[in-house]
Amino acid sequence: MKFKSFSTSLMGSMPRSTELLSARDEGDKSKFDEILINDTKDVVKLEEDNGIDVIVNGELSRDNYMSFVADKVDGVKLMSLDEVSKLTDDESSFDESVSSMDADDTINNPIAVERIKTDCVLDFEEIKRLKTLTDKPIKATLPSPYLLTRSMWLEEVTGKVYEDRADLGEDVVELLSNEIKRLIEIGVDVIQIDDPILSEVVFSKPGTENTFF
Amino acid sequence: MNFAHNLIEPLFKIIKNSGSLGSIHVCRGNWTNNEDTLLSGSYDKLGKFFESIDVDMLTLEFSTPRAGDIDSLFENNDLKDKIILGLGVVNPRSTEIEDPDVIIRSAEEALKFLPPERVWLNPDCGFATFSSRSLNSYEVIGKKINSMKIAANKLRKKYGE
Repeated sequence: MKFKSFSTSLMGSMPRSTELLSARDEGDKSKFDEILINDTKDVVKLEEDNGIDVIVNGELSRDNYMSFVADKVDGVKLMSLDEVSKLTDDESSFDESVSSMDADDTINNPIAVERIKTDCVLDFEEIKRLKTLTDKPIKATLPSPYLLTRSMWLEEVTGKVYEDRADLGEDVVELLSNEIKRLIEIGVDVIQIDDPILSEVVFSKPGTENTFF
Repeated sequence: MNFAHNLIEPLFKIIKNSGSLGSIHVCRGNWTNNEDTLLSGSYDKLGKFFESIDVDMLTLEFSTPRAGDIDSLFENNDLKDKIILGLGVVNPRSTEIEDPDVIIRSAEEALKFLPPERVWLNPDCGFATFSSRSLNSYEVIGKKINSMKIAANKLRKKYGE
């Protein structure tokens, strides 16, 4: 195996600078990209200086680990928890879930509002760039198709364009499969699928269908 | 769990034998530093699922008591024969810097089940899962990562590279 025993890596996301976040909020694309490249270099340097063996890019361009697909994929729209809550039949139980989990309206959900375009590129270009920033092995992260399908399904909206969750799930798997093939093609060393929702299925109490994550 | 399996398995089939390593990261929430509201539970229930998706690596949180013991992951399954474990040894939500010796002891628990080349070290989760909610400063993060490096180097001296 090409990796050392006890190889170290980070899980993916790193804090975004205030400069990066304000460029995003201002909608200044070229300023955002410039800051993004510089901040990503800093993240890579921090990892290399501290002996990390498998390098991540810090996911600095993502709003969060799954909502970023809304920026990249046609047919997906980012909705705040507030917007989702208003469209949900059982609004009160959803709101209760949000507040009891100490979440708030700053956490956004990607919702499928049309049939999604499965050949859309996610953040492949940034992973390609990461490869130019380090000689070490690299890791790419992707949200799990299970997590995405559950998050993207909002009966009142998605139910009009997809037959059911399984129908949407097929397109999500296709979308992610296409991205994975791109990552393999350029020789990404580790491809990590992130799925916090799996633990919700296993660990949480029954009857919490519309929880915020 | 069938639905989860049907969606996740095809991705790892593509990655298998591609030259890239396929990993799945499962955690129990990373949006707040209030540990009481995050989910808890040991991994025994997920072991069978991990086996069914034929994944190369598991990156899991183990740095807080919420995760349960490492033993629970290997109960009632054959994961120990094949899996690389990305062992969560750093809590991304705390400002306390992990003691390298504590990290080493945690890795040694994993070594009861796995050979050194199949034990990796990582934080439990990202340091800023949500762009609006950074969980730590770069200053603290640097120190935490450094602890991980010290532990990895000591482990390599003791158990080989």
